[in-house]
Amino acid sequence: MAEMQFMTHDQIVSLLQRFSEEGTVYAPTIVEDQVDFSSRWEAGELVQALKRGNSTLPPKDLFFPQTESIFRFKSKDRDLQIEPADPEEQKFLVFGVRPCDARSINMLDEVFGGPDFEETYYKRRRDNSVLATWTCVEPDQTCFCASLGCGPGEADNADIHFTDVGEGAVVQPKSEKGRQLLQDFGSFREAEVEEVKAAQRVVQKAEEQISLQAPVEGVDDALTDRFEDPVWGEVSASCIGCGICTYLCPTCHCYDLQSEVWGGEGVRYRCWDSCMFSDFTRMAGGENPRPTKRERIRNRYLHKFSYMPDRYGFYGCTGCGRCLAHCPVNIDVIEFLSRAKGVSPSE
Amino acid sequence: MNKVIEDLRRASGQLLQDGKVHQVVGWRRGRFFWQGSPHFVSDAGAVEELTYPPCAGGNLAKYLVDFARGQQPDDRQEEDSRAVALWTRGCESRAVNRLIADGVVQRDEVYLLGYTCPGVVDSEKLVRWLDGDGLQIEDVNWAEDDERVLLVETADGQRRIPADEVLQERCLRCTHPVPVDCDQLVDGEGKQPAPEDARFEEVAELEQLQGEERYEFWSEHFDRCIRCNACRNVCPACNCVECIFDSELPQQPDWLGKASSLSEKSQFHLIRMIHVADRCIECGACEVVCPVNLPVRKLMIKATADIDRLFGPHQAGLQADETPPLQTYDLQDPDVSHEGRGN
Repeated sequence: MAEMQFMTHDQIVSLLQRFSEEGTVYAPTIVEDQVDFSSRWEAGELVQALKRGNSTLPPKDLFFPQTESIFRFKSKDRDLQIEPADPEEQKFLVFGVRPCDARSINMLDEVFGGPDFEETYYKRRRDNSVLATWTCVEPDQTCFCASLGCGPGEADNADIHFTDVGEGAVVQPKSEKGRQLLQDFGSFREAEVEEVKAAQRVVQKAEEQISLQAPVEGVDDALTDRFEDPVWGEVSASCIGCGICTYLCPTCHCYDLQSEVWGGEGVRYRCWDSCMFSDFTRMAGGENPRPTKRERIRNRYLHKFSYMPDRYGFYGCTGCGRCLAHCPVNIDVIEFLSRAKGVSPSE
Repeated sequence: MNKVIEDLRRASGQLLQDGKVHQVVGWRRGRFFWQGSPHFVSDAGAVEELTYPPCAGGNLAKYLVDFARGQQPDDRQEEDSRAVALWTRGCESRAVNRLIADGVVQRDEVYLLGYTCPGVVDSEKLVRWLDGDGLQIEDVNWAEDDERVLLVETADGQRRIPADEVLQERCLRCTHPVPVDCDQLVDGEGKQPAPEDARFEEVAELEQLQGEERYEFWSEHFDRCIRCNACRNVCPACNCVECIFDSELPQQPDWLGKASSLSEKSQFHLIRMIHVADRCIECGACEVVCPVNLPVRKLMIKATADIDRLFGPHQAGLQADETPPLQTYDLQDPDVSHEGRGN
């Protein structure tokens, strides 16, 4: 508790502005009536943007960009030159990340930075970044993070965590990076006992607001040997095969490698891909092991609720609710989980 | 609307029972008030699951493409009818006509269960309507006593709202709420058709902009596109067997890269616009499904307006045997390359 500090909203803005002199700050910004993490955030609108629900797109693009160059190449007379595209070295701070999204970055850390293989580009971005999380004061109706071992005020892997208590926020550095941030960019007073209590009440109130529950416990076992189950046809019937659920998902991380070629030179780049797309697993000869939406939805759900727990020990879902809120035909992950476990869908 | 829903259910059950169709495509409620899901019923005993939720999103006719191409999960037996019944509003009937004209769907493989569309509620308008009173919406239903009224349940009790005040923009400008073709029409009051000159109102302002300003307007929007393909996938005019944007077979050129750059994103939207321009039935589903609120419908309205002005009055999908203006050649067609650019 000794580490708890208090910052007014103005002090938070000035901390971000001072950081901006050395690196980039990405913060919630209202664009076309939606919240987006942007480097063009407005000091005057920050508090307003933070009060809105979670961002439409998660901040995963900042660590795992939708498109990034891997190397450039040039060939002339059988001589091939390859030049790696160096990942950016710039420091950046992502401010206002909700705990569910912080948890998703924790998951991506396992995927891209696991013990067997460390992915340079992702790792460098993570090392160069500071993750500043913000208690989800007003969770959306679509939030079910509590069922996935997450919560509106918990962010174990954050560097620094803020809880808004009205006039300002109670601030808790949670890592060396977070402590360094406070040391370098401000000197703030210790939070009063009353303020810390107020922050706890804010978290508690937010927790009480999350009424939606996902029957996720044991679903990995329930999905064993269900590859040919009728449930896949039922949940995929209305799917239109777009990439909204995967692109808005903070934990989906599939990508494709593509080249752009102009004459004898070009660039090889990596870009997001979606298992909902018809060409996702299509082979060069045209054969596709996932020929219809039934197999594609099956892959997405099994990846999250069977393969990931098997491989990493956690479900590939944080309960952020984006797929639930934005699927254009309302394919409902909670309803799927209920069907998979053979229980009646919860309200 | 509730009586219409009951009639539609009854008719659906009858069709299944008589074996005239093997499946009925309609709607069901979503988990939240702003949702409505396409729903598929193959058992006459389950027609009660079908309804018409106030926020009934996209265009159901698109599923006929999936049925026609073996993409739809289906428990149809060999002896079952091949036909599917479709709950059909004006926009769905026009989409079906287009699909027939494009050779994707056979008319005798679809049973059009028509009804006059009451319009689709714009949930954000609804929230704004009530926001002045600071009310949280819990549920929305059609009133029993008046077909043009919505009952909105809030924590503070029930409110009555005239449906026309909170309909989606696309529906406010719809010229054909009544199906242009159907096998059976369930009578209801529905929404009044909009006058034809309302179709292009929304782009009047855009048309006043100079070229560079327009370029900037669209670039800013295209740059926010996440390339999820939802606009393409929901569009009944987008029914190519092999979409140019998915062409990755080795024997085909790589028309458009997968990169998330402004140039690729702009090309995606412009190619799609030109390709569907004269077959767009103005249902606006593309814009409804966009997760980042791109004004893609405006792009289509502009293309439709230009075609209408250049080649004479045209509304796609009014007949199944139509030939869209860009697929025909007439000596009387205006030659814009000589007369100066169209607007």
